[in-house]
Amino acid sequence: MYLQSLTVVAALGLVGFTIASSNGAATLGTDPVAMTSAPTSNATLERGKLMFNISCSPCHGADGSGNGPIEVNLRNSPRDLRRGIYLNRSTASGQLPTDYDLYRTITSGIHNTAMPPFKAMAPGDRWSIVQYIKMFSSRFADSTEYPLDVLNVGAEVLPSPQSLAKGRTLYLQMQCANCHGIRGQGDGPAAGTHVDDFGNQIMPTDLTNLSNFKFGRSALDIFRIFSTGLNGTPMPSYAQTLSETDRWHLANYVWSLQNTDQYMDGAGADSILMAHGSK
Amino acid sequence: MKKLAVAFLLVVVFLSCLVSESHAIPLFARKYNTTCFTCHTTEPLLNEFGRRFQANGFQLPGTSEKFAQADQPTAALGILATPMVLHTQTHDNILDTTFGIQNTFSGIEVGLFSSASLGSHFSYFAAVPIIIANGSTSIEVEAAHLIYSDVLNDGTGSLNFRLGKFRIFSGFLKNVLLTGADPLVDTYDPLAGKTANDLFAAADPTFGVSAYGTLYAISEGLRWEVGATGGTKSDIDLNTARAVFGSLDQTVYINNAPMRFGGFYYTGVQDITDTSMSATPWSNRVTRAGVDAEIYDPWTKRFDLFGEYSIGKDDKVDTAGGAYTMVGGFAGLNVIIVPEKFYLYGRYDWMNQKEVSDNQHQIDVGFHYHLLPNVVLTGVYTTLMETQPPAGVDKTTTTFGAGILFGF
Repeated sequence: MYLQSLTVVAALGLVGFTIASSNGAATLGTDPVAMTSAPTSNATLERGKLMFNISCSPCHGADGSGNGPIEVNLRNSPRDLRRGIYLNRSTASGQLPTDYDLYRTITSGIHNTAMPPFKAMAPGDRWSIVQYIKMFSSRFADSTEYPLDVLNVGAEVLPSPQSLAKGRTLYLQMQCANCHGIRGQGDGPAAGTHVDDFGNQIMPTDLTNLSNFKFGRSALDIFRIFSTGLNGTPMPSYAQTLSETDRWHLANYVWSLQNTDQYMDGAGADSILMAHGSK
Repeated sequence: MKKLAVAFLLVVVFLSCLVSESHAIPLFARKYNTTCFTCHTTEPLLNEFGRRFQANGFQLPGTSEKFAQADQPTAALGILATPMVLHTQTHDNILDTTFGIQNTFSGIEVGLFSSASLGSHFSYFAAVPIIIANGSTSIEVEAAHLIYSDVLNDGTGSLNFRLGKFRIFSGFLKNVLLTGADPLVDTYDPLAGKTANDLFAAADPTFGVSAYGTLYAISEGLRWEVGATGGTKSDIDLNTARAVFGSLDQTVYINNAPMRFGGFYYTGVQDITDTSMSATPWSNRVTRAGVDAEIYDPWTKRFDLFGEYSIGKDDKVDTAGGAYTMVGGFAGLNVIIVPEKFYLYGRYDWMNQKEVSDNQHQIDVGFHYHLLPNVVLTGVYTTLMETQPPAGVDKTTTTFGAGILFGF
């Protein structure tokens, strides 16, 4: 009971923080949508260029083309920043990311890929890189791209046996297993057939492996992906096809797969929730 | 030999299973939750990002751990194990005889690495290889130094200090070469065969202090280092030494392919007090200098052509006052066949020692195949041809073998 209360408090705190963060208020003191189109000083851009050339150009290239010196050594090419297509967003499918989305990717990296987390870079420098990389794509200067439809997290549905069972049903209904496999191990019938918009062959995420959650492994992180999709990949957004509550059920189910492969039909939900400290 | 091969295969299979279960990747990759290929073309060859990482005091380029967040681990520990089976054959070309044929399990080298941030600017790096071969075990502290990074607080790593035992940045470091062999000039020992103690080998780590960095304000790819050392092998020699060194290299990019040009200079004095050679101490001045270059092809960036030309002089290698002068270098090629999977390399080394006409030529070719993210199969073929006319040794030593490199 104590754990459950603690989890609820923590979850509320997390949601609160995330909403605040997605508004930029907690960290940056500015609304991210406004920041996206806000003018940037030359000094910030100069600093951003310097730090980009030091930290990012070995992979992304000084011209942002994703064709940096070490690109050829990586199985998947680094992002071509000139196209303005980003995976890690809090905006609707197909839209540009907010500045804070870009800041978050630089800060946290993309887990288990060649993109490391630059947490130890000065926050101002990370921020200046955000401004600089937006210069590579004309989309950011295109007024028709705005306003951005930033995700509203809404009321979180906490994990429960009922939520997980509903999530499992949705997982099958929405054909998730076609790519991610019946047990979520990334081995569905369609696995191995996907190519992203940049020509990289990509594999569906093994949802049972913690390391494979590229943008965070909390239920909230997963909910965000279901709500925004991953631009440039076959992973769609379910914002139009599933209600917010159903997306939470699905997120809870996928989240529950991380530490166990026991759960198949809801029977093991209790032990999973115990393992996650939610019960 | 058969039993040995079977035992080796069993060890390989066992360790492969162990690794595939653990999904572990070593040291910095684990610390930063990224892949080995962020910094390495294939271990130990550093790519451009890896070189910047190393130059920034083993921190991501552009970062300083004073900004590290609470959830970021500051310490890292890695283990690298490399068991090798070798066949070595030496042939005397004058007598036309073959001798010294050996089929050996050359042993296992287990490298322990550790690095940690010790505060806003301080960090350390340590490498301790444990070599288990021929029934004996040896441990050496190959590197152990403190780093004070980002001295100017500008986030660019233009000025850093290090203090302790390290390899000087002159020319090509071991982790900038794919072959395991050190360049012949760097390892040439004029006193070999004359004394129990080595005199000088530029490839060896040394105790010292240096200042280094990348001068982004002047040119993005301009790297420099100046330092003073206590001479190489100062941890095991009876001799004392002091030396200064400096290096400078510039990287430019054509179609995002790096091209690097540089040079180095090392000079020092070694006071030889080894009583096994002479009751009277004497001093030997050691000088090494060279230029080096590295060029990636600008079309595919898969071909990495590199080379070095260096000269060396020891002005008094023995009590008779004999001077030794060496000229040599190497040229090589690394090729990426399949990214993150398969690599080929080749290198030709030569070294001419003028006074005793000791001429050495070496050809070194091999491959790396990444069986798993942290398991690499390696194969190597090396031929060393040495000539000491008129009546000296004229021999060819050929080595070929295979091994596995495990990272944990």
